[in-house]
Amino acid sequence: MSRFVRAARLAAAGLGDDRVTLGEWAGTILACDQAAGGADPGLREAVALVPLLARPVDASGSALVRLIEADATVPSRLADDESRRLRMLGVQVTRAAAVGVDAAWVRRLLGQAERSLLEPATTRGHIDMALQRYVMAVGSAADALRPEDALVICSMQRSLLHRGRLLLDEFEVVDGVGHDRTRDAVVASQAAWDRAFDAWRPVVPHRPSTATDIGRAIVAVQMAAREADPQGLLQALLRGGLGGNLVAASAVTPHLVRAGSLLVRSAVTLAERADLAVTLRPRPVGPRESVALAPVPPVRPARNVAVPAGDGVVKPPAKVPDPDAVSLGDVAALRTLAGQRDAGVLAEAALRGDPEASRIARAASRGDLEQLAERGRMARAAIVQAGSPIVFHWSRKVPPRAREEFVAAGLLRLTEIAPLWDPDRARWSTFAYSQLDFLRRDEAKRKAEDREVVSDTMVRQVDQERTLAAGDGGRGVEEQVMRRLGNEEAIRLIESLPEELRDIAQARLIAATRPSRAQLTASTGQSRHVLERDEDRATGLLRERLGRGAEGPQELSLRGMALLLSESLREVPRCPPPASSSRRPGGGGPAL
Amino acid sequence: MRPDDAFAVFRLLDHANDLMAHAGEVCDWAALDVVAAWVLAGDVAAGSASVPVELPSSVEGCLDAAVQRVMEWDTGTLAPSARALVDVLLAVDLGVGGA
Repeated sequence: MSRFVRAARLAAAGLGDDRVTLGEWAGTILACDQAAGGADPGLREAVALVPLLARPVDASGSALVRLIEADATVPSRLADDESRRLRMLGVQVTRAAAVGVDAAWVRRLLGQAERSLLEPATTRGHIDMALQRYVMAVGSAADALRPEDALVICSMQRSLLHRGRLLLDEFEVVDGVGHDRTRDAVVASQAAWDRAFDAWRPVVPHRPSTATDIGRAIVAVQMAAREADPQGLLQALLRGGLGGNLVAASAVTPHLVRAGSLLVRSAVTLAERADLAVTLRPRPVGPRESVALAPVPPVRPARNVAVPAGDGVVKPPAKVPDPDAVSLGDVAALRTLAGQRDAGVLAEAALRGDPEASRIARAASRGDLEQLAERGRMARAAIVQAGSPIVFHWSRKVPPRAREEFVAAGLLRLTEIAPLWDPDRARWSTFAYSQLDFLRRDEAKRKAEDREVVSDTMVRQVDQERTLAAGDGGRGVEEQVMRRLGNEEAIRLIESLPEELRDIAQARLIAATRPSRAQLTASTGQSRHVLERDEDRATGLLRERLGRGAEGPQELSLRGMALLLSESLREVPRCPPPASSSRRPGGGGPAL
Repeated sequence: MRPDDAFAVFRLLDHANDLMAHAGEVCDWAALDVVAAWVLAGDVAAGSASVPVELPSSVEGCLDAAVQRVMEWDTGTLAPSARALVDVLLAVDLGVGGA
């Protein structure tokens, strides 16, 4: 049997019932890397994350590690398929280890390991490689990080995020969570690194020390960044989570406090948003004005207190709550935010010169008012952010294909209602919940009405067809010609639909007795979801084609009428039905 | 070979890095260059004795003082990290888009 096949089978089994612990994950990744002789870039990148996540178990504690080690004897050089098998084994173990993990930072790091195994960054461009080597150096040093290294990492991350922020003023993120939210995450993380730097600085002496792998990697990044074009650099930064920001934050923060660390949480948020930012384009306007961060006093460790590695995680002294930190259930914080929001509105009015607002705020200086206004804007954003889980809650009740549109509309609605929320009348959660429910119902109603419009138009046209088929010599020439052209248009429209949609369009939109979805599910054997999707698609296509054809049929009818009148026809032309209508069933049923 | 004033250069860049944390937009694009120069200066000056150094109050002042010193170094006799430090320092541009 080929090498590592048994291990691969065991790893695949881990995806099922057996839970893989982080220790076993770490041991497995190390064993795979050793088996590959340290030559596989994906495994190398994943190994660098091990010190951040767990102490690896050895062969005595893991059957999987034992199997890998048993096969990793000779030859040390792996065949292509063996190397691939080891990487896939690593992916399976990583996925299995992520099952049931609650901590967001652990899930993100495991996700990063999986991504490395699937597509190593060190196989990409120069700047990607340099950034990845820096991340690997930081990750590898995490379990024995010197204070000097921690300070270097703080400085490096500040500068990388600073560069990222400047580049985001030049280029716009056009996908993911949007440009502003991506940029806000960069700014928030940068502020967290500022605080971490201020906490580390007093405990590191001003003495030179030999450059470690981290230092060398930083110099390599600087050189690569100098050569990179700005867009390529930003792309690489976003691809790598802003220079492995989460890895760096986890490295300088002690394991036990990572879950509650602002530095780590802001890095998780940034990683999530940067992950989705793929497409960039130059910003059409000049660089966005930089947000002036409130000066933060240096935070120093208390006297006579030993500072453990990573105590740079300090609660923000800023009075403005972190938009990502206020949860929907935090009633007191949301009430505070509402107060700041209202004060901001007043300050904005005073700045605009509103007499009443100016009278109320006469004791405040212009600087104070600007600060209040800025704080108000941030509070409003924080309120919106806190309500966003409700949007995602309701979006689950929307058909999958419309979900994205609903989420966008829901977030927009949240920004509209955030200024209107009165904390004395209802909780934000209650208010936002009901408002978004209204939105959902409105959307559903609008959609149903759209469907009715299409349906009624089609039914009307088919009714006309029936009348004509039965012969209606009592009507005028013009009317009959126009009707016939309209009927042909209706038939043409139905027949223009993709074949798989014609039945559902007929049944749900045109048939005299419209069967319910449950009846259709039973008669067609298709799932309700598929029927719903097809009906939506058919409705959309018909609506689109009806709209597009609005000019056409009218034009044709007039032309036809003009022709008839010029030939002085006095009788209704009994034209045979067109070829496309020849499949009409007897009795005047619709040609479908 | 280690230049005599390697510690002074390190201290100047160390101070520049500290100032940068609170300098807001002053350093703009050069932040990454300053960090790299600081790391390299630490490597060059590792093991050298501490001496008093006059520290300017701005990032720009610190960089100017450091550049003046490294300009005096004989690059032919320098270790690779010291040569890299000279290269990085001479290329730092505090103007927007400089790096």
